[in-house]
Formats: sequence, C-alpha cells, structure tokens
Amino acid sequence: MSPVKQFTCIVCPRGCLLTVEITEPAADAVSGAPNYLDAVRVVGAACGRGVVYGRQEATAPLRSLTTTLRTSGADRPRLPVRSSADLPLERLLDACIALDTVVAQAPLRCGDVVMADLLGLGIDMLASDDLAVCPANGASHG
Amino acid sequence: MKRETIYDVIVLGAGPAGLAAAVAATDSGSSVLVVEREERPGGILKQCIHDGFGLVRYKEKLTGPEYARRDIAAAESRGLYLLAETFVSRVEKGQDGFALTCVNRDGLHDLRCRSLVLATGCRERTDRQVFIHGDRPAGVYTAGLAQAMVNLHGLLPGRTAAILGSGDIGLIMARRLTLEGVAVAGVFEVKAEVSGLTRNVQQCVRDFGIPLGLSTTVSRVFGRQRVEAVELSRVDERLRPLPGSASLVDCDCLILSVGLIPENEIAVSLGVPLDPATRGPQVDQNMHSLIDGVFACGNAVHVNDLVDYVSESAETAGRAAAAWARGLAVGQPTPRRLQPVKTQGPLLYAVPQFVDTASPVDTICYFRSNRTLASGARLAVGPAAKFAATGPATTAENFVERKFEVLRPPEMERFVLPAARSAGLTGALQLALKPEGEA
Ligand SMILES: Cc1cc2nc3c(=O)[nH]c(=O)nc-3n(C[C@H](O)[C@H](O)[C@H](O)COP(=O)(O)OP(=O)(O)OC[C@H]3O[C@@H](n4cnc5c(N)ncnc54)[C@H](O)[C@@H]3O)c2cc1C
Ligand code: SF4
Repeated sequence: MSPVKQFTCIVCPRGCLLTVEITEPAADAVSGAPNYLDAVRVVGAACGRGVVYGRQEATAPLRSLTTTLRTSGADRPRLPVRSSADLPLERLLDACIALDTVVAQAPLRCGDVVMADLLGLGIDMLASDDLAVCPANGASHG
Repeated sequence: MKRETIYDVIVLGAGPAGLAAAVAATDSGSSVLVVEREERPGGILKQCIHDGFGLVRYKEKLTGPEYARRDIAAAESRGLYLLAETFVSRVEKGQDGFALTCVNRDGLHDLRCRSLVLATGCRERTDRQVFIHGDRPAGVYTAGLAQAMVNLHGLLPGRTAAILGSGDIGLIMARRLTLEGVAVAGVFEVKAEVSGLTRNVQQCVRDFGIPLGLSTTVSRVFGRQRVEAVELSRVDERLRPLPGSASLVDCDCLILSVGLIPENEIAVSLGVPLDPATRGPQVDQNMHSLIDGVFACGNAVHVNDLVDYVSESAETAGRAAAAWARGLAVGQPTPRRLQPVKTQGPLLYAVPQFVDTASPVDTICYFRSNRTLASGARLAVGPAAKFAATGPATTAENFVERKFEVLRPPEMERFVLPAARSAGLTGALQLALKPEGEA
C-alpha cells in the first residue's frame, strides 16, 4: 500500500485539508529515470499553491521563522525579525537557540540583515521593523 | 474669544484601521488629526510579530510590524499629524460636529472636528476568569498580555504554560512560547471545536507536538503566591464539567485566550447603538454609525480575523468621513436613507447592519456563519419582502447569489452588493444562508 498523509494547507487562511498519496515512482518515458514528482499526488487543494505545499510537506516540511532579538542602543528592548526564506521545521528550535545570543545594534531599517547564514542553511534573518537609536540606551537591553 | 481649529476629521486610534482611515480622508481633501494613546502607531500589530498579514491587500506574506510600517509610511508621506501618548477621555456632540477632551503629559486639551472616526480596536475578554475556582495566584495572563510581554519586552510569563482557549492568539502564543524555550503543557478548549484558524492548529500546535484538549476546561487553579498547577476537567455537551474527569497539570502560568470584543466606550458615551451580535456600533456601508458624523472601522466594529479587511473598511470610513465633513462645512450634509439588513439562517452576524440607499457607494458585506457548515451553503441577498419565512422565494429578484464550499465561524466571508442594485430598495435587505444538504 502507498503511504497517505493528511494535513492542513497553511499557505493561506482558507486551510484546505490536503490528502497526499506517495506512490512508487514510475520510470520517465523519455529518460527512464524514476519520476518522483508525479509519484506524489495531492488531493483537496483549492489552488496550485496548495499542490506545491502538499508535495513539500509530505517530503520535507518547511516553515518560516519569526522571533525577536535583544537590542542595543535602541529606543526599545526587542526587535522583531523574520527569516528570508523557509527553513526545515525540525531546525526551528535550534535556530531560536542560535539567535538567543544575537544583539541587534540600532539603527536598523526594516529588511536589514541582522544575522547572515543562519545555522549554515543559507538563510538570513531580517529586521521586520525599523529600529531607532536612543542615546540613553547605550548598554544592551537585558 | 480664541477661535479653535476645527479639523474635518479626527481619528481615534493609530492602529491599521485608524491609519488607513486617516490616509483615505487626507486623500479626499480633508484636514485630519489622529489621536493615539500609545507612544508609537501600529496598534496591536506591533506585537503580532508572526507572518501571514497582507495576503489580500499586498499579495505578500508580511509580519504584523511590516504591515503596520506600510501604513505608517503612507501616513508620513502625507505629513499626517499624529498626537501620540494622548488619551481621548470625553467626546460631546454639538451642532456642527464634536468636541473632544484629551489628556496627555502636557495636560488637558480640547479638540474639535466635523467627523469622528472610531478606530479604537478591540480588547480581550476576561470574564471567563471569573468562573475558575481556587486561588488567585500570580501567573494568570490573557494571551494578548503574554504576547506583549514576550514580543515587546522580552519577558517570559513562566517556565511551563497551560493555555485555556483555542482562539488564534492562544494558538500563536503556544508556538511563540515553545520557540522561546517555555514548555507548553497543552492548549485546552471547552468547546468541541477549535475556535482559531485550522492553519494555526497545524503550524502552532501540531508542528510542535503540543497536546490539544477539546471539550476540556480549567476547573481550578492551584498555587499560593504563584500558579503551581491547574485542574483540567472534561465537559459534557452543555459545557458542564463531568464529575470524576478531573486531572492535574503542573505549570507556573495559565494563559487565557477566550476571545476579543470591540472597544467602544466612546461610542457608548455618545449614544451610538451597538449590535448585540458584534458588540460594535451598527453601521451602514460607509461605516457610518446611526449617529450622524460618527464613523467606525476595524476591530472596533467587529473582530476581524484578517487585517486586510480592517484596512478595507477603514478606507471606506475615511472617505465617507471626509465627504460628511465637506457637507457640514457648507451647511448641507447629505441626508441618508437607511434600510436595515436582516439575516436568516445560520448566520452569526453581518456587517453593515444598514444600507444607505441614497449613497452611491457599493456595500461590502462581511459575515460569519454561527457553526461549521462542512458541506457548504448558498447565500441569497435581496429585498426582504420577496423572501418567504423559510428562505428565498424567488431567485430572479435576488441581488446577489453566492455558493460557499465550506463556512466556519472563525473565517469571515465577504461579498459586494453594487449600489446600483440596492438603490431601489424600499424596505429591508435580507441575507439568507441555506446550508447545502439541509431541508
Ligand atoms: C492581543 C491581540 C492580538 C491579535 N493578534 C492578531 C493576529 O495575530 N493576527 C491577526 O490577523 N489579527 C490579530 N488581532 C486582531 C487585530 O487586532 C487586527 O487584525 C487589527 O490589528 C485591528 O486593527 P485596528 O486598527 O482595528 O485595532 P488596533 O490595532 O487594536 O488599534 C487600535 C488603536 O487604538 C488605540 N486606542 C484605543 N482607545 C483609544 C483612546 N480612547 N484614545 C486614543 N487611542 C486609543 C490603541 O492604543 C490602538 O493603537 C489581534 C488582536 C489583539 C487584541
Ligand atoms: S490549497 Fe490554496 S486555497 Fe487551499 S489553503 Fe492552500 S493556498 Fe489556500
């Protein structure tokens, strides 16, 4: 029997229930190589983005990461940040631990890279807001 | 006597609703002032650091602060005047507009305007707390307060958390706390169904293997100084704890995510009639309340799940507030001809509650079903007089007919009723929702 997985599409708020069936890949008619793409069948997606998501989710789930960083010299204690691309779901917690020691130095603009190449994944962490300088806060916020 | 400035439009609140309303009113030629009680504009979006905002308005997946930044940039580029750290304490209606009393560090200020836009957002319900027995230790927080602590101040509410209520903010906090190293003992919901979006159940709870207990409530809190444990009970269909079903969960904080209600102290003080279903002002399609010159938008009207529609309703309110002020300035406010909107079938609510048939503005209607309609439903909109007690009598005279694949209470739906169609209404407008496969 081929494995069937069910999950909710998280690409948009509609939240379609996807059923993904993984079959034995057939040999491609032209190249003869196994065709993995057609071996993953996605049912229940109301749009094409759900099909792409379903394939990915069934094989290697990816998630975006949003969190906050400690700041230094800024007008507030935390800066919200986001990942430049989605990372493997099972690396989210490691990523947060790695970001625990990173300090965002004001001033920063929304979109600035605050940490490059997170965990060697080739993904950057970007400021998701402007961070203004506050002269009174020279020391890093705890 | 000193002549005071009269603004065409004063907007209360600088969240996404207030900012979009102010920008739209400015673009319509009005003089506009925004009053905000907090230090920075952006409203609740400042603390919503997760992504998923803006898919409708910008076709992009933005975080809350990024979404707010776009509204702030639009306001700044127009030189919009924001009076921050100022609380509006009192509003009075006069002959030619409104007189506002504001309080800030410099003392009391009197402001005047022709149109008033209420964009004060919503607040968290805390009433459920009352029903929990036991001690009253420290460590019980609402989800929004916990979100502000973690995301704005970098403070953790505890080491092990139990979350009561499955609203979106509670689900989002389950993930947020997990990522910050807090152990989440579970998310518990008294109803048999999750009240937040399905995608948040997946990406915030299931992704991290957090237990989700439905038909389960917190029946007792233990702890002298600080929360030490909570008692969980399973409930029956009538939401009463089942005897003998209690179990203990160790935790040092309890987070309540039991829903939001519109913030409407000022509307109430002005005598603006509220809708008991939304708990916000009743409005027409211009977001004009039943008191002339008072407009409302965003979460102050009804609690939205998507900020994109908050902005949409706010732009409508801003344009209409500007038009009203123009009319007042020349002494000729446009009279309204209001027809009520009636609902039929499993509808929780519909906004607007009135249609102004004298207005050339199309009606954007937002509604929610009151239960999950898994096999979908048909919506028919037309003159109420043409509807039978059991549902739409004819189809030829319906203004709008729509079919929905599935309807769930947490997911708001929307349709547009063109002004050309509603202009001829001589009585109430009816919205009839008929579930598929039900008699
Ligand atoms: C705790 C919380 C978390 C939320 N999280 C999400 C989420 O994750 N995703 C989502 O899509 N939606 C979320 N929402 C819903 C969110 O509120 C809306 O999407 C959107 O931000 C509403 O915009 P608004 O401008 O109507 O209200 P708000 O953003 O709440 O803005 C209202 C503004 O009015 C100001 N104000 C209020 N009263 C006065 C007064 N008397 N005088 C002066 N100023 C005043 C407030 O300070 C505030 O800045 C959340 C709501 C809350 C309460
Ligand atoms: S399949 Fe398409 S419509 Fe359905 S949730 Fe995913 S993105 Fe949204």
